[in-house]
Amino acid sequence: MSDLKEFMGKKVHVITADARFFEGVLQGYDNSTNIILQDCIERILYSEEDVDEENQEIPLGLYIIRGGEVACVGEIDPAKYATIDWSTLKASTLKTTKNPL
Amino acid sequence: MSAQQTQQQPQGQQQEQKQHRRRNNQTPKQEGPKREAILDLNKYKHQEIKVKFVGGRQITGVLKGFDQLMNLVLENVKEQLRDPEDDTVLTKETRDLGLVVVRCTSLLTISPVNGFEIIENPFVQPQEQ
Amino acid sequence: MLPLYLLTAAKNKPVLIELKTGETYQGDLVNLDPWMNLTLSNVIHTNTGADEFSKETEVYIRGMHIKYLRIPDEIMDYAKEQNLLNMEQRNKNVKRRGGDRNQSGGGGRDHRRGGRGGNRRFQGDRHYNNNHHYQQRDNE
Repeated sequence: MSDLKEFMGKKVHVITADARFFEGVLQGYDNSTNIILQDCIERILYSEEDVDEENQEIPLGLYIIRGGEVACVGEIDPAKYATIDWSTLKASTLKTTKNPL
Repeated sequence: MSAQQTQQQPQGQQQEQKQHRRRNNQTPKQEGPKREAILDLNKYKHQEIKVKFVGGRQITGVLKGFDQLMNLVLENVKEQLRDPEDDTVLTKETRDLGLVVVRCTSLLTISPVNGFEIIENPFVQPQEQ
Repeated sequence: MLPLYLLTAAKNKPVLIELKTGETYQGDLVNLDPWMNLTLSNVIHTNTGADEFSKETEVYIRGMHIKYLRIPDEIMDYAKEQNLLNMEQRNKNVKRRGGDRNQSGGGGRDHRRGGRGGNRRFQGDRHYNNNHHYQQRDNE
């Protein structure tokens, strides 16, 4: 298992297996990569085609995400982050990694 | 297994262990969850319960027996059939399955039928997603 | 902070669980175990399509099929507090243990080793339980 230790207490982005995009402060994790996100928000970004949709930012609060659902955790670079205008950012849809059960 | 071990232990260690146990008792509360059954199925014995399975099937039946791993024995089991077009949608139809052993491995949720009721949307705004 | 510790601190508090199927359960967290299996009381269940709702008095949920849990913000602080309290308590116990040892008259070192032996047995016990865990895992 690679180490999430370096991300502790920092703001991170998390992409989950069902193609959702979260942002929050990593407050904890365990051996199975269950993670705690504090002040978690979910971002919904629309692609160029969805002209009449507005990007959303949904405040969620304190979250525990099951390890099995975590596809990717990335540390946020505050300098770069500040330059991003989330309301106008366009992004294409991620495919899910999900095995429909 | 652990009981045997205890017996084989030399006296000194046994004492140490006793101490250990005592220490544990003194500790007021562990932060982590305890290794013990969190659902006492005895209280549902001979009552009707609803079991959901991994994969989306759902049954109701009278709980006759169970074990530590939560394998269940149910009697008078009815399966709530799903829409063949869309298997996330349950229909009103049921089929009788009689006596059933539920494997713990495919079990998703357990809840008592008593106390279940369908309600209107309780949230002012519909749930996200 | 371990997720399971945080969750333990959320006992008797309202939580929201989403399963991998997309269903959600909202209710008071009654209990949990090391596999994140949960029991909830006074539950509102929402189906995958978020168009059907039901009330249930009690539900047991398999941890393995949870996608995420949402818990009240203040639990974080509460859990940290609990953690500190536990640490203090443990330190006290360690000190007291040291005292006992000296009274019994033995050299500290030797007794410490005895202590480890005791721990080893304890680990064996845990190993046993782990097997149990694997058994469950394998089956699933």
